[in-house]
Amino acid sequence: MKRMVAAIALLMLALTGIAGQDAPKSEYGLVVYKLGEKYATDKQAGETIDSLADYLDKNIAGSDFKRIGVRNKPDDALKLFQDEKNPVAVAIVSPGFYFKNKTDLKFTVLAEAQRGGKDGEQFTLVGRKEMKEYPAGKKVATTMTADLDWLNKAVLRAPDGAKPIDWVQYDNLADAGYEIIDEEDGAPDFVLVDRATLDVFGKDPDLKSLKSGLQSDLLPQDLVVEVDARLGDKRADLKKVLGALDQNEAGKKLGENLQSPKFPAADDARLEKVAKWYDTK
Amino acid sequence: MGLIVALAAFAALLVFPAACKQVSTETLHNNANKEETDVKPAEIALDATAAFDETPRTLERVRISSSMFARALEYESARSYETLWKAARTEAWIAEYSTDNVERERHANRGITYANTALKLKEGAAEATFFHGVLAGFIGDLDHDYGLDAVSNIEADMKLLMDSDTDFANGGPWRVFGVLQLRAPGPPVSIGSLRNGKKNLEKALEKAPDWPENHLYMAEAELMWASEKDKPEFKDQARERLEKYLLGADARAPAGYETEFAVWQEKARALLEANK
Repeated sequence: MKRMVAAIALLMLALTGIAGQDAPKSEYGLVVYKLGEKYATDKQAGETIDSLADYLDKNIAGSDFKRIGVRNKPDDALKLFQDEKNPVAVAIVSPGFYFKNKTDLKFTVLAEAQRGGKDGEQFTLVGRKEMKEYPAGKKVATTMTADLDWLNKAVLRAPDGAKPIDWVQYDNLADAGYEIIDEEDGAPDFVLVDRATLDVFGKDPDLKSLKSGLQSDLLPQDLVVEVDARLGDKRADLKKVLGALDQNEAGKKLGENLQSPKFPAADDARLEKVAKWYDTK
Repeated sequence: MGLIVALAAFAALLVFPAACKQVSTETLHNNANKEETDVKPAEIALDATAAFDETPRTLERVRISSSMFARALEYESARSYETLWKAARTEAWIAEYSTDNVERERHANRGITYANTALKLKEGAAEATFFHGVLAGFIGDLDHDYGLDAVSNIEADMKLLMDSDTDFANGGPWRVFGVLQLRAPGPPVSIGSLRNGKKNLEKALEKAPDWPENHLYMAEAELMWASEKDKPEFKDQARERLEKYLLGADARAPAGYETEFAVWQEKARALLEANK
């Protein structure tokens, strides 16, 4: 009998030990690449992306998301995806990067950002004169010269035979607009602004004097992509959690910091439309 | 009085802030039942002001000023607008010039409570509005989670003063707002603009042409201008400015601002080093 009690006690101890251990978690590398955002770096944005990873860990059982890096230049981002020692499972990337690398890096789109709660992104040309035509050969200020394919293949496509736009990098588009207003030497002819910046221009006492002209099609915003099917059975959970980010307080705060209240499913028709432009030689 | 404006180092962190916290709107608690017995709060407040006004200022003496203000302000009878904004000024000074971030944060938070209480007594009053904005800046600088809200507070406070052309602290409103614009990201995230920042610093210099702190930040703007617009003549201009008003043999601290001047000189040297 004594031997039996001891054996049961031993068994109990062993079972308790097993129950006390955490269930094994799978690790998923997370990368963020945001074109034209000077401060999209590990130093400036790392903490916020870590808080996204923590949020995903809490809401997707058995997952352990880890930030691999935050970048703002396509070549720098590409290096992260090519590092086999630190495999990337999921990333938030600017759309130009997706279209350029979707085949080589085996991307699958899971969701799309909604900056400021708006669906899609539209760019507008603003300048001293209203320019409704493609500004052939003109100097246009933008934050996105690191990805000229995105600018030329998607944002403002040149008509056949037209002289291409001379894209000029500005980190601060307001200052580009002021250069036009102040008629500074070397000022750009136009500024290319997204919808949120266009709103700011409309409220600024000086910048509102500039005229809006040609607009891009409605384009995809930043995309959440899975790399090489590495999320496995966590894919559906991730889509669900990101799509419902605005449904709880912690998610709402995170959405504010990421400048997108939620990440719903991407608009497939929009993606296909732009993909065709990229495929056209 | 002059001083203040180290703020806005936080401004670069406004993109992807780790969290969005609101700068406190708390005021001093009602202490109507606290008896004065042999304590004379108004006299303590006067001593606190005197401790701050004695120059050259030292951290030790301004800490004493802070303790005395805290003691006096436990009593309702000492909570005049005048005492409250001066107490906020003392706290802002420590938040700027202490090298201990824990101490800086404690005093910045205490100061904003004083400023809030002063503004409750006298809405829109210049001194309290100015220090409210400055203290919000320190809070944002010390804890970046407050960054976005701090910028909103600084913008609202300084614009209120600038729109009514109310000068304070030697062009303070234009200087504070100008520095913020120099260092903050541009739209749509924030209000950054080199052009607007430089314009506001020019206005600060119009208000107080010899104030070294205005020249320090104007030199920063000129160095940025030189680099971003590829105009090296602005770099030369910045160097000459720093030499004349802060670093050269003839540069002098304004009377009573020897302590602050030494800190501005350090910043001027750091600026030159970073822009060799």
